[in-house]
Amino acid sequence: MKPQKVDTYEQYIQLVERYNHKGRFTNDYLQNEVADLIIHDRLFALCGQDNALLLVQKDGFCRVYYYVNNTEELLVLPESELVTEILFRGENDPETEVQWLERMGFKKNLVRDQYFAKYASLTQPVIIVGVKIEIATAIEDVIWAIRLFNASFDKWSGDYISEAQAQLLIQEKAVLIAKDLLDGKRLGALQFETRQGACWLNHVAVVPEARGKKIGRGLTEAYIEQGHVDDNSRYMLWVQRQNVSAVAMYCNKGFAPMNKSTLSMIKL
Amino acid sequence: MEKLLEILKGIRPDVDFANETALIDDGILDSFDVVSIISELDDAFDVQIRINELDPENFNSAEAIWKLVQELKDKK
Repeated sequence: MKPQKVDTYEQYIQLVERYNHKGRFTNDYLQNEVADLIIHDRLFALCGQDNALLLVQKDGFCRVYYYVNNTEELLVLPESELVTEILFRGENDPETEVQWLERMGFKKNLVRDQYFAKYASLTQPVIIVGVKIEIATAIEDVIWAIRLFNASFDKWSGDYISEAQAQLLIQEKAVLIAKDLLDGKRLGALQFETRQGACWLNHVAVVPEARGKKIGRGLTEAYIEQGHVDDNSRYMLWVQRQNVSAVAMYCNKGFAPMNKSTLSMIKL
Repeated sequence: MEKLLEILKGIRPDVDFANETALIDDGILDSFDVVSIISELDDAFDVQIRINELDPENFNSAEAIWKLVQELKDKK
């Protein structure tokens, strides 16, 4: 059984109608993206009797979305590298889906939690001495930031940024760079965007030798100011649960968990 | 309606569902939230929302969601 390309939106709807039964497990939150994926020949389906997978082709791997009605039915997966994200709420891992995916060769990767803040609930900024933080306007600064992000995060979780996006990021004024005030050495970077009425912190990373010096905090403060319109300005971010120092910093800053988490699982 | 508000609050405790009227238009709810809401509505009210009924207008407020639930129940 090989994945079949989904050629039309109607085919996608038919698949959902066939597998979206009461009590099923699904992480199909593609919805708005489906039409675009079909146009670009990037959406495939692997259908069993009771369960189905949607495969989205990415650079060098596929992202997997599922409809599971029968955990006894396993599907024969394609050879390519696969990653899926299970969306869940609360403290506990979604064990049923995890076990089903593990039986098909997936392994647990990362847990991430979503955090939220309104400007009015945030604590006052701290002063970071000896560091200059500003919007990156030079292409070499933005490419340096992209390389730092890509070296700091795994490509499976949607964090990868292509260097081809550098010019666009400059135009959008979307990258903050922290530099040593004295020698201009780059210490860290943050990338953000405004969408859906909120200012999203997408990436933040600090070079290893500058960690523990509140550079991440300083970048976060600068990002907050960039997104500030009024007291109701909204801020969103995802953070790896095991990154306890970052979680503590965001909580101290006034961010609160949104009861929304993802567990990524990979099959290499 | 009270039961619906309880469900919505369980999904997104940070959102003021009683007063928000542009939950989708303002990006307060994302597709993960909508999938969760659909699943919870199915469990609580025994109504199935088909994918082609996913009109953003049906999810912009608790009142709109409640209206959709009532319509689906009436259809049964």
